[in-house]
Amino acid sequence: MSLTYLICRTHGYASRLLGRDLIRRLAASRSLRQLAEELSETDYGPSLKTAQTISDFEEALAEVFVSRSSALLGLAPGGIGDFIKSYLRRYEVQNLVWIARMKLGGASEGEIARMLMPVKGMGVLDLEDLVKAGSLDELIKAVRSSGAYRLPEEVESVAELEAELWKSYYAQIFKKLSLIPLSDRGDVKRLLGLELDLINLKTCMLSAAGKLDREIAEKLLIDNPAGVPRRKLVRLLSKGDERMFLEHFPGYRDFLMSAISGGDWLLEVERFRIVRRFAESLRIPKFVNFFYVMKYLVDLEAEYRDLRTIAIAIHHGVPPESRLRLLVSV
Amino acid sequence: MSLRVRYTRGFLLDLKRRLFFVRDAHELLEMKRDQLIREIRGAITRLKEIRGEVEMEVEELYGELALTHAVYGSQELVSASWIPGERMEVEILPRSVMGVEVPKVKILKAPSIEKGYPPHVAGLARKASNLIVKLLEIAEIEALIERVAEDLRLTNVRVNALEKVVIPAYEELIKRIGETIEQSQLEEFMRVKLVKKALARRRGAV
Repeated sequence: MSLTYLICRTHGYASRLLGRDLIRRLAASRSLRQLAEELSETDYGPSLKTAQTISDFEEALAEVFVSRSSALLGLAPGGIGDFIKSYLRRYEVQNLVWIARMKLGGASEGEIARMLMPVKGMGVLDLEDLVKAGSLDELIKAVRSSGAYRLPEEVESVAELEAELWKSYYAQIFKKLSLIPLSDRGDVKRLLGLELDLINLKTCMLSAAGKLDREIAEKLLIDNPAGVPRRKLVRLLSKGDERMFLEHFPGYRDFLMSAISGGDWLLEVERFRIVRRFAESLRIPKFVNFFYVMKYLVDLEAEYRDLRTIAIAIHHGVPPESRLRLLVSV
Repeated sequence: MSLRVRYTRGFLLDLKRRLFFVRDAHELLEMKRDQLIREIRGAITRLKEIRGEVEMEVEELYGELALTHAVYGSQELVSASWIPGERMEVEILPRSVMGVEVPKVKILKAPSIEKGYPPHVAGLARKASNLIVKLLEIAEIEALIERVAEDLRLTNVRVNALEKVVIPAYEELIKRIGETIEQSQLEEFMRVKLVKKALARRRGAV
Protein backbone atom coordinates (compact mmCIF):
# COMPACT_ATOMS: atom_id res chain seq x y z
CA MET A 1 0.00 0.00 0.00
CA SER A 2 1.23 3.48 -0.79
CA LEU A 3 0.98 6.76 1.05
CA THR A 4 -1.18 8.17 -1.77
CA TYR A 5 -3.63 5.29 -1.35
CA LEU A 6 -3.79 5.98 2.39
CA ILE A 7 -4.46 9.68 1.80
CA CYS A 8 -7.16 8.91 -0.79
CA ARG A 9 -8.88 6.47 1.55
CA THR A 10 -8.63 9.01 4.34
CA HIS A 11 -10.44 11.54 2.12
CA GLY A 12 -13.12 8.90 1.66
CA TYR A 13 -13.37 8.31 5.39
CA ALA A 14 -13.33 12.04 6.10
CA SER A 15 -16.44 12.46 3.95
CA ARG A 16 -18.26 10.29 6.50
CA LEU A 17 -17.43 12.56 9.40
CA LEU A 18 -20.45 14.34 10.80
CA GLY A 19 -20.95 17.92 9.67
CA ARG A 20 -21.13 20.90 11.98
CA ASP A 21 -24.88 21.36 11.35
CA LEU A 22 -25.63 17.78 12.22
CA ILE A 23 -23.59 18.04 15.42
CA ARG A 24 -25.58 21.15 16.35
CA ARG A 25 -28.82 19.29 15.65
CA LEU A 26 -27.63 16.36 17.72
CA ALA A 27 -26.76 18.70 20.59
CA ALA A 28 -30.40 19.80 20.64
CA SER A 29 -31.66 16.21 21.11
CA ARG A 30 -34.07 15.77 23.98
CA SER A 31 -33.28 12.17 24.80
CA LEU A 32 -30.73 9.47 24.16
CA ARG A 33 -33.30 7.68 22.01
CA GLN A 34 -33.70 10.76 19.83
CA LEU A 35 -29.91 11.01 19.58
CA ALA A 36 -29.70 7.39 18.47
CA GLU A 37 -32.42 7.98 15.89
CA GLU A 38 -30.64 11.04 14.49
CA LEU A 39 -27.46 8.97 14.19
CA SER A 40 -29.19 5.93 12.69
CA GLU A 41 -28.19 6.84 9.11
CA THR A 42 -24.53 7.34 10.02
CA ASP A 43 -21.69 4.90 10.83
CA TYR A 44 -22.89 4.94 14.44
CA GLY A 45 -26.36 3.65 13.55
CA PRO A 46 -25.79 -0.14 13.85
CA SER A 47 -23.85 0.15 17.10
CA LEU A 48 -26.40 2.44 18.71
CA LYS A 49 -29.41 0.35 17.65
CA THR A 50 -29.57 -1.55 20.95
CA ALA A 51 -28.07 1.14 23.18
CA GLN A 52 -30.35 2.01 26.09
CA THR A 53 -28.24 3.46 28.88
CA ILE A 54 -25.51 6.07 28.88
CA SER A 55 -22.91 3.30 29.36
CA ASP A 56 -24.22 1.53 26.25
CA PHE A 57 -23.90 4.80 24.35
CA GLU A 58 -20.36 5.45 25.51
CA GLU A 59 -19.36 1.87 24.69
CA ALA A 60 -20.91 2.02 21.22
CA LEU A 61 -19.32 5.40 20.41
CA ALA A 62 -15.89 4.18 21.57
CA GLU A 63 -16.27 1.04 19.49
CA VAL A 64 -16.99 3.01 16.31
CA PHE A 65 -14.16 5.45 17.07
CA VAL A 66 -11.63 2.65 17.60
CA SER A 67 -12.71 0.75 14.49
CA ARG A 68 -12.50 3.92 12.36
CA SER A 69 -9.08 4.87 13.76
CA SER A 70 -7.60 1.41 13.46
CA ALA A 71 -8.90 1.09 9.89
CA LEU A 72 -6.07 3.41 8.87
CA LEU A 73 -3.48 1.05 10.32
CA GLY A 74 -4.27 -1.62 7.77
CA LEU A 75 -3.92 0.85 4.90
CA ALA A 76 -0.73 2.65 5.92
CA PRO A 77 2.57 1.63 4.36
CA GLY A 78 5.44 0.43 6.67
CA GLY A 79 6.97 3.43 8.43
CA ILE A 80 3.82 5.54 8.16
CA GLY A 81 1.81 2.73 9.72
CA ASP A 82 4.36 2.54 12.48
CA PHE A 83 4.00 6.27 13.12
CA ILE A 84 0.20 6.14 13.12
CA LYS A 85 0.31 3.20 15.53
CA SER A 86 2.63 5.17 17.81
CA TYR A 87 0.26 8.15 17.62
CA LEU A 88 -2.75 5.99 18.45
CA ARG A 89 -0.98 4.56 21.49
CA ARG A 90 -2.31 7.60 23.34
CA TYR A 91 -5.48 5.57 23.91
CA GLU A 92 -3.40 2.73 25.31
CA VAL A 93 -1.79 5.22 27.72
CA GLN A 94 -5.25 6.39 28.68
CA ASN A 95 -6.29 2.79 29.35
CA LEU A 96 -3.14 2.20 31.40
CA VAL A 97 -3.90 5.24 33.53
CA TRP A 98 -7.43 3.98 34.17
CA ILE A 99 -6.15 0.50 35.04
CA ALA A 100 -3.56 1.98 37.44
CA ARG A 101 -6.13 4.14 39.27
CA MET A 102 -8.57 1.27 39.63
CA LYS A 103 -5.85 -1.18 40.70
CA LEU A 104 -4.83 1.24 43.41
CA GLY A 105 -8.42 1.37 44.63
CA GLY A 106 -8.70 -2.42 44.60
CA ALA A 107 -11.20 -2.75 41.73
CA SER A 108 -11.86 -6.24 40.42
CA GLU A 109 -10.63 -7.45 37.03
CA GLY A 110 -14.18 -7.42 35.70
CA GLU A 111 -14.79 -3.86 36.82
CA ILE A 112 -11.56 -2.69 35.19
CA ALA A 113 -12.13 -4.61 31.97
CA ARG A 114 -15.60 -3.07 31.58
CA MET A 115 -14.12 0.40 31.86
CA LEU A 116 -11.45 0.14 29.18
CA MET A 117 -11.55 1.47 25.66
CA PRO A 118 -11.35 -1.48 23.22
CA VAL A 119 -8.04 -0.35 21.67
CA LYS A 120 -7.18 -3.81 20.25
CA GLY A 121 -4.46 -3.36 17.62
CA MET A 122 -3.84 0.28 18.48
CA GLY A 123 -1.37 -0.50 21.25
CA VAL A 124 1.58 -2.76 21.92
CA LEU A 125 0.69 -4.08 25.37
CA ASP A 126 -1.68 -6.89 26.20
CA LEU A 127 -4.09 -5.00 28.42
CA GLU A 128 -5.99 -8.15 29.37
CA ASP A 129 -2.81 -9.45 31.01
CA LEU A 130 -2.18 -6.13 32.76
CA VAL A 131 -5.69 -6.07 34.16
CA LYS A 132 -4.83 -9.35 35.91
CA ALA A 133 -1.90 -7.75 37.79
CA GLY A 134 -2.31 -8.27 41.54
CA SER A 135 -1.42 -4.73 42.53
CA LEU A 136 -0.33 -1.37 41.21
CA ASP A 137 3.33 -2.26 41.80
CA GLU A 138 2.92 -5.43 39.77
CA LEU A 139 1.28 -3.43 37.01
CA ILE A 140 4.14 -0.92 36.96
CA LYS A 141 6.68 -3.75 36.92
CA ALA A 142 4.88 -5.44 34.02
CA VAL A 143 4.74 -2.20 32.01
CA ARG A 144 8.39 -1.46 32.76
CA SER A 145 9.56 -4.95 31.82
CA SER A 146 7.61 -4.83 28.54
CA GLY A 147 9.90 -2.03 27.40
CA ALA A 148 6.92 -0.28 25.80
CA TYR A 149 7.21 2.70 28.15
CA ARG A 150 10.19 4.08 30.05
CA LEU A 151 9.26 4.40 33.67
CA PRO A 152 11.55 5.54 36.50
CA GLU A 153 12.40 3.18 39.35
CA GLU A 154 10.44 5.21 41.87
CA VAL A 155 6.88 6.24 41.11
CA GLU A 156 5.23 7.89 44.11
CA SER A 157 1.64 8.33 42.98
CA VAL A 158 -0.77 7.48 40.19
CA ALA A 159 -0.57 11.08 39.00
CA GLU A 160 3.19 10.69 38.67
CA LEU A 161 2.78 7.38 36.86
CA GLU A 162 0.31 9.06 34.51
CA ALA A 163 2.81 11.85 33.82
CA GLU A 164 5.63 9.36 33.21
CA LEU A 165 3.50 7.35 30.78
CA TRP A 166 2.65 10.50 28.83
CA LYS A 167 6.30 11.63 28.88
CA SER A 168 7.34 8.27 27.47
CA TYR A 169 4.54 8.41 24.88
CA TYR A 170 5.50 11.86 23.63
CA ALA A 171 9.24 11.03 23.62
CA GLN A 172 8.49 8.05 21.38
CA ILE A 173 6.16 9.87 19.03
CA PHE A 174 8.68 12.68 18.52
CA LYS A 175 11.32 10.05 17.74
CA LYS A 176 9.01 8.38 15.23
CA LEU A 177 8.60 11.63 13.31
CA SER A 178 11.48 10.52 11.12
CA LEU A 179 9.17 7.83 9.69
CA ILE A 180 6.85 10.31 7.98
CA PRO A 181 7.60 12.23 4.78
CA LEU A 182 10.01 15.15 5.24
CA SER A 183 7.48 17.60 3.80
CA ASP A 184 5.02 16.81 6.61
CA ARG A 185 7.44 16.40 9.45
CA GLY A 186 7.51 20.07 10.44
CA ASP A 187 3.73 20.43 10.51
CA VAL A 188 3.10 17.22 12.42
CA LYS A 189 5.82 18.28 14.86
CA ARG A 190 4.11 21.65 15.26
CA LEU A 191 0.78 19.91 15.84
CA LEU A 192 2.26 17.68 18.54
CA GLY A 193 4.19 20.62 20.01
CA LEU A 194 1.01 22.67 20.18
CA GLU A 195 -0.84 19.84 21.86
CA LEU A 196 1.94 19.44 24.44
CA ASP A 197 2.18 23.19 25.04
CA LEU A 198 -1.52 23.28 25.86
CA ILE A 199 -1.28 20.26 28.16
CA ASN A 200 1.68 21.82 30.00
CA LEU A 201 0.07 25.25 30.19
CA LYS A 202 -3.10 23.68 31.58
CA THR A 203 -1.01 22.08 34.33
CA CYS A 204 0.74 25.40 35.02
CA MET A 205 -2.49 27.38 35.16
CA LEU A 206 -4.11 24.89 37.52
CA SER A 207 -1.07 25.17 39.77
CA ALA A 208 -0.98 28.98 39.57
CA ALA A 209 -4.68 29.03 40.47
CA GLY A 210 -3.89 26.98 43.56
CA LYS A 211 -5.75 23.91 42.32
CA LEU A 212 -2.61 21.80 42.00
CA ASP A 213 0.42 21.51 44.23
CA ARG A 214 3.46 23.20 42.58
CA GLU A 215 5.74 20.25 43.27
CA ILE A 216 3.28 17.85 41.65
CA ALA A 217 2.73 20.25 38.76
CA GLU A 218 6.48 20.35 38.07
CA LYS A 219 6.54 16.56 37.90
CA LEU A 220 3.59 16.55 35.52
CA LEU A 221 5.24 18.88 32.99
CA ILE A 222 6.32 17.05 29.85
CA ASP A 223 9.40 17.90 27.76
CA ASN A 224 8.34 19.54 24.55
CA PRO A 225 10.94 19.51 21.75
CA ALA A 226 8.54 21.42 19.48
CA GLY A 227 7.25 24.09 21.81
CA VAL A 228 7.81 25.91 25.08
CA PRO A 229 10.76 24.35 26.95
CA ARG A 230 9.91 22.65 30.22
CA ARG A 231 12.48 24.65 32.18
CA LYS A 232 10.85 27.93 31.14
CA LEU A 233 7.52 26.67 32.45
CA VAL A 234 9.15 25.50 35.69
CA ARG A 235 10.66 28.97 36.12
CA LEU A 236 7.30 30.69 35.57
CA LEU A 237 5.59 28.16 37.77
CA SER A 238 7.84 29.10 40.67
CA LYS A 239 6.46 32.66 40.49
CA GLY A 240 2.95 31.28 40.99
CA ASP A 241 1.23 34.11 39.11
CA GLU A 242 -1.35 33.42 36.40
CA ARG A 243 -0.70 36.80 34.76
CA MET A 244 2.93 35.90 34.09
CA PHE A 245 1.72 33.22 31.69
CA LEU A 246 -0.50 35.71 29.92
CA GLU A 247 2.49 37.99 29.41
CA HIS A 248 4.79 35.23 28.18
CA PHE A 249 2.33 33.40 25.95
CA PRO A 250 0.14 35.98 24.21
CA GLY A 251 -0.55 33.40 21.47
CA TYR A 252 -2.45 31.28 23.97
CA ARG A 253 -4.33 34.21 25.49
CA ASP A 254 -7.84 32.79 24.93
CA PHE A 255 -6.82 29.46 26.34
CA LEU A 256 -5.19 31.02 29.38
CA MET A 257 -8.17 33.31 29.93
CA SER A 258 -10.47 30.27 30.08
CA ALA A 259 -8.20 28.92 32.80
CA ILE A 260 -8.49 32.15 34.76
CA SER A 261 -12.26 32.32 34.35
CA GLY A 262 -12.51 28.93 36.06
CA GLY A 263 -14.01 25.63 34.96
CA ASP A 264 -11.29 23.07 34.38
CA TRP A 265 -13.51 21.35 31.85
CA LEU A 266 -13.47 24.49 29.71
CA LEU A 267 -9.67 24.21 29.43
CA GLU A 268 -9.98 20.68 28.12
CA VAL A 269 -12.52 21.74 25.49
CA GLU A 270 -10.47 24.78 24.53
CA ARG A 271 -7.33 22.63 24.20
CA PHE A 272 -9.02 20.37 21.64
CA ARG A 273 -10.52 23.33 19.81
CA ILE A 274 -7.11 24.98 19.39
CA VAL A 275 -5.45 21.77 18.14
CA ARG A 276 -8.32 21.15 15.77
CA ARG A 277 -8.24 24.74 14.48
CA PHE A 278 -4.53 24.37 13.78
CA ALA A 279 -5.08 21.13 11.84
CA GLU A 280 -7.98 22.78 10.00
CA SER A 281 -5.83 25.80 9.06
CA LEU A 282 -3.51 23.50 7.09
CA ARG A 283 -6.30 21.52 5.45
CA ILE A 284 -6.05 23.09 1.98
CA PRO A 285 -2.24 23.26 1.56
CA LYS A 286 -1.93 19.73 2.98
CA PHE A 287 -4.81 18.24 1.00
CA VAL A 288 -2.70 15.47 -0.56
CA ASN A 289 -0.12 15.15 2.20
CA PHE A 290 0.28 12.83 5.15
CA PHE A 291 -0.73 15.73 7.39
CA TYR A 292 -4.26 15.28 6.06
CA VAL A 293 -4.30 11.83 7.73
CA MET A 294 -3.28 13.49 10.99
CA LYS A 295 -6.02 16.06 10.55
CA TYR A 296 -8.50 13.24 10.00
CA LEU A 297 -7.36 11.57 13.24
CA VAL A 298 -7.79 14.84 15.12
CA ASP A 299 -11.26 15.31 13.60
CA LEU A 300 -12.18 11.76 14.42
CA GLU A 301 -11.30 12.20 18.06
CA ALA A 302 -13.13 15.54 18.16
CA GLU A 303 -16.24 13.87 16.72
CA TYR A 304 -16.03 10.98 19.19
CA ARG A 305 -15.60 13.37 22.10
CA ASP A 306 -18.45 15.59 20.91
CA LEU A 307 -20.89 12.70 20.56
CA ARG A 308 -19.91 11.35 23.96
CA THR A 309 -20.29 14.83 25.44
CA ILE A 310 -23.75 15.25 23.90
CA ALA A 311 -24.88 11.85 25.20
CA ILE A 312 -23.65 12.52 28.74
CA ALA A 313 -25.03 16.07 28.69
CA ILE A 314 -28.46 14.68 27.70
CA HIS A 315 -28.15 12.08 30.46
CA HIS A 316 -27.48 14.82 33.04
CA GLY A 317 -30.16 17.12 31.67
CA VAL A 318 -27.73 19.89 30.68
CA PRO A 319 -29.81 22.47 28.74
CA PRO A 320 -29.28 22.30 24.93
CA GLU A 321 -27.95 25.88 24.76
CA SER A 322 -25.24 25.02 27.33
CA ARG A 323 -24.22 21.86 25.48
CA LEU A 324 -22.70 23.80 22.59
CA ARG A 325 -20.07 25.27 24.94
CA LEU A 326 -18.84 21.76 25.63
CA LEU A 327 -18.31 20.79 22.02
CA VAL A 328 -15.02 20.85 20.18
CA SER A 329 -16.20 20.95 16.59
CA VAL A 330 -18.97 23.57 16.87
CA MET B 1 -52.09 12.28 94.07
CA SER B 2 -52.41 9.76 96.84
CA LEU B 3 -52.25 11.42 100.23
CA ARG B 4 -53.65 10.31 103.52
CA VAL B 5 -55.64 13.40 104.30
CA ARG B 6 -55.73 14.58 107.85
CA TYR B 7 -57.90 17.53 108.71
CA THR B 8 -55.46 19.18 111.03
CA ARG B 9 -53.80 22.55 111.09
CA GLY B 10 -50.35 20.89 110.91
CA PHE B 11 -51.33 18.95 107.81
CA LEU B 12 -52.74 22.13 106.25
CA LEU B 13 -49.46 23.97 106.85
CA ASP B 14 -47.54 21.02 105.34
CA LEU B 15 -49.81 21.07 102.31
CA LYS B 16 -49.31 24.81 101.85
CA ARG B 17 -45.53 24.27 101.97
CA ARG B 18 -45.87 21.54 99.36
CA LEU B 19 -48.00 23.74 97.12
CA PHE B 20 -45.41 26.48 97.35
CA PHE B 21 -42.74 23.97 96.26
CA VAL B 22 -44.90 22.64 93.39
CA ARG B 23 -45.54 26.21 92.18
CA ASP B 24 -41.79 26.84 92.20
CA ALA B 25 -41.23 23.64 90.24
CA HIS B 26 -43.94 24.67 87.78
CA GLU B 27 -42.31 28.03 87.29
CA LEU B 28 -38.91 26.42 86.75
CA LEU B 29 -40.34 23.91 84.30
CA GLU B 30 -42.02 26.74 82.42
CA MET B 31 -38.67 28.52 82.23
CA LYS B 32 -37.03 25.30 80.99
CA ARG B 33 -39.79 24.89 78.41
CA ASP B 34 -39.26 28.44 77.15
CA GLN B 35 -35.51 27.90 76.97
CA LEU B 36 -35.96 24.61 75.08
CA ILE B 37 -38.27 26.39 72.62
CA ARG B 38 -35.61 29.07 72.15
CA GLU B 39 -32.98 26.35 71.55
CA ILE B 40 -35.19 24.65 68.97
CA ARG B 41 -35.99 27.95 67.26
CA GLY B 42 -32.29 28.80 67.04
CA ALA B 43 -31.45 25.33 65.75
CA ILE B 44 -34.22 25.47 63.13
CA THR B 45 -33.03 28.87 61.91
CA ARG B 46 -29.44 27.55 61.64
CA LEU B 47 -30.73 24.37 59.95
CA LYS B 48 -32.66 26.40 57.38
CA GLU B 49 -29.59 28.52 56.71
CA ILE B 50 -27.19 25.61 56.34
CA ARG B 51 -29.69 23.56 54.32
CA GLY B 52 -30.03 26.45 51.90
CA GLU B 53 -26.24 26.67 51.61
CA VAL B 54 -25.92 22.90 51.12
CA GLU B 55 -28.69 22.82 48.52
CA MET B 56 -26.97 25.60 46.59
CA GLU B 57 -23.58 23.92 46.86
CA VAL B 58 -24.99 20.52 45.85
CA GLU B 59 -26.62 22.09 42.83
CA GLU B 60 -23.40 23.85 41.90
CA LEU B 61 -21.34 20.70 42.47
CA TYR B 62 -23.74 18.56 40.48
CA GLY B 63 -23.67 21.09 37.62
CA GLU B 64 -19.89 21.07 37.60
CA LEU B 65 -19.81 17.30 37.88
CA ALA B 66 -22.17 17.02 34.91
CA LEU B 67 -19.96 19.30 32.80
CA THR B 68 -16.76 17.51 33.85
CA HIS B 69 -18.39 14.15 33.18
CA ALA B 70 -19.59 15.31 29.77
CA VAL B 71 -16.17 16.64 28.74
CA TYR B 72 -13.95 13.91 30.18
CA GLY B 73 -16.23 10.88 29.87
CA SER B 74 -17.26 8.22 32.37
CA GLN B 75 -14.00 6.25 32.34
CA GLU B 76 -12.00 9.24 33.51
CA LEU B 77 -14.36 10.04 36.39
CA VAL B 78 -15.06 6.46 37.44
CA SER B 79 -11.38 5.50 37.41
CA ALA B 80 -10.49 8.63 39.40
CA SER B 81 -13.14 7.75 41.95
CA TRP B 82 -11.21 4.55 42.68
CA ILE B 83 -8.14 6.47 43.82
CA PRO B 84 -8.13 5.94 47.56
CA GLY B 85 -8.12 9.16 49.53
CA GLU B 86 -7.43 9.47 53.23
CA ARG B 87 -10.52 8.65 55.25
CA MET B 88 -12.36 11.21 57.27
CA GLU B 89 -12.21 10.59 61.00
CA VAL B 90 -14.88 11.90 63.34
CA GLU B 91 -15.70 11.55 67.01
CA ILE B 92 -19.19 11.87 68.46
CA LEU B 93 -19.11 13.66 71.80
CA PRO B 94 -22.03 14.24 74.19
CA ARG B 95 -23.14 17.81 74.84
CA SER B 96 -25.78 19.04 77.28
CA VAL B 97 -28.51 21.48 76.30
CA MET B 98 -30.68 22.27 79.39
CA GLY B 99 -29.91 18.81 80.70
CA VAL B 100 -30.70 17.11 77.38
CA GLU B 101 -27.81 15.07 75.98
CA VAL B 102 -27.21 15.88 72.30
CA PRO B 103 -24.42 14.63 70.01
CA LYS B 104 -21.59 16.90 68.96
CA VAL B 105 -19.58 15.82 65.89
CA LYS B 106 -15.91 16.58 66.15
CA ILE B 107 -13.89 16.20 62.94
CA LEU B 108 -10.53 14.72 63.87
CA LYS B 109 -9.20 14.44 60.33
CA ALA B 110 -10.62 15.87 57.14
CA PRO B 111 -10.11 13.71 54.02
CA SER B 112 -6.95 14.66 52.15
CA ILE B 113 -7.30 14.90 48.40
CA GLU B 114 -4.14 16.77 47.57
CA LYS B 115 -2.14 13.93 46.08
CA GLY B 116 -3.01 11.36 43.47
CA TYR B 117 -6.19 12.85 42.08
CA PRO B 118 -6.12 14.31 38.60
CA PRO B 119 -6.48 18.12 38.91
CA HIS B 120 -9.86 18.30 37.16
CA VAL B 121 -11.28 15.76 39.63
CA ALA B 122 -9.44 17.13 42.69
CA GLY B 123 -11.45 20.37 42.54
CA LEU B 124 -14.73 18.45 42.57
CA ALA B 125 -13.49 16.11 45.31
CA ARG B 126 -12.48 19.07 47.47
CA LYS B 127 -15.92 20.64 47.09
CA ALA B 128 -17.62 17.32 47.88
CA SER B 129 -15.42 16.95 50.94
CA ASN B 130 -16.41 20.41 52.22
CA LEU B 131 -20.01 19.47 51.62
CA ILE B 132 -19.66 16.39 53.82
CA VAL B 133 -18.57 18.64 56.70
CA LYS B 134 -21.75 20.68 56.25
CA LEU B 135 -23.88 17.53 55.98
CA LEU B 136 -22.40 16.40 59.31
CA GLU B 137 -23.40 19.74 60.81
CA ILE B 138 -26.93 19.23 59.48
CA ALA B 139 -27.05 15.77 61.06
CA GLU B 140 -25.84 17.26 64.35
CA ILE B 141 -28.50 19.99 64.33
CA GLU B 142 -31.24 17.53 63.33
CA ALA B 143 -30.28 15.24 66.22
CA LEU B 144 -30.33 18.23 68.58
CA ILE B 145 -33.79 19.28 67.38
CA GLU B 146 -35.10 15.73 67.68
CA ARG B 147 -33.83 15.20 71.23
CA VAL B 148 -34.69 18.67 72.50
CA ALA B 149 -38.16 18.35 70.98
CA GLU B 150 -38.70 15.06 72.80
CA ASP B 151 -37.60 16.68 76.07
CA LEU B 152 -39.79 19.65 75.33
CA ARG B 153 -42.76 17.32 74.92
CA LEU B 154 -42.05 15.70 78.28
CA THR B 155 -41.53 19.07 79.95
CA ASN B 156 -44.78 20.29 78.48
CA VAL B 157 -46.60 17.23 79.83
CA ARG B 158 -45.09 17.95 83.28
CA VAL B 159 -45.98 21.65 83.15
CA ASN B 160 -49.53 20.85 82.11
CA ALA B 161 -49.86 18.14 84.75
CA LEU B 162 -48.72 20.56 87.46
CA GLU B 163 -50.84 23.39 86.10
CA LYS B 164 -54.02 21.46 85.37
CA VAL B 165 -53.97 18.61 87.89
CA VAL B 166 -51.48 18.83 90.76
CA ILE B 167 -51.77 22.51 91.69
CA PRO B 168 -55.62 22.62 91.46
CA ALA B 169 -55.81 19.39 93.47
CA TYR B 170 -53.57 20.84 96.17
CA GLU B 171 -55.55 24.08 96.17
CA GLU B 172 -58.79 22.16 96.38
CA LEU B 173 -57.49 20.02 99.22
CA ILE B 174 -56.12 23.03 101.09
CA LYS B 175 -59.44 24.77 100.62
CA ARG B 176 -61.36 21.71 101.82
CA ILE B 177 -59.13 21.17 104.86
CA GLY B 178 -59.22 24.89 105.64
CA GLU B 179 -63.02 24.91 105.46
CA THR B 180 -63.29 21.77 107.58
CA ILE B 181 -60.95 23.24 110.20
CA GLU B 182 -62.86 26.50 110.14
CA GLN B 183 -66.12 24.58 110.45
CA SER B 184 -64.85 22.58 113.40
CA GLN B 185 -63.50 25.80 114.97
CA LEU B 186 -66.90 27.39 114.56
CA GLU B 187 -68.60 24.35 116.03
CA GLU B 188 -66.12 24.43 118.89
CA PHE B 189 -66.80 28.14 119.40
CA MET B 190 -70.55 27.58 119.38
CA ARG B 191 -70.15 24.64 121.74
CA VAL B 192 -68.08 26.79 124.14
CA LYS B 193 -70.63 29.60 123.84
CA LEU B 194 -73.53 27.24 124.62
CA VAL B 195 -71.62 25.72 127.52
CA LYS B 196 -70.84 29.23 128.82
CA LYS B 197 -74.54 30.16 128.46
CA ALA B 198 -75.67 26.99 130.24
CA LEU B 199 -73.17 27.58 133.03
CA ALA B 200 -74.32 31.22 133.37
CA ARG B 201 -77.94 30.12 133.47
CA ARG B 202 -77.13 27.53 136.14
CA ARG B 203 -75.30 30.17 138.25
CA GLY B 204 -78.31 32.54 137.89
CA ALA B 205 -80.72 29.87 139.09
CA VAL B 206 -78.54 29.20 142.12
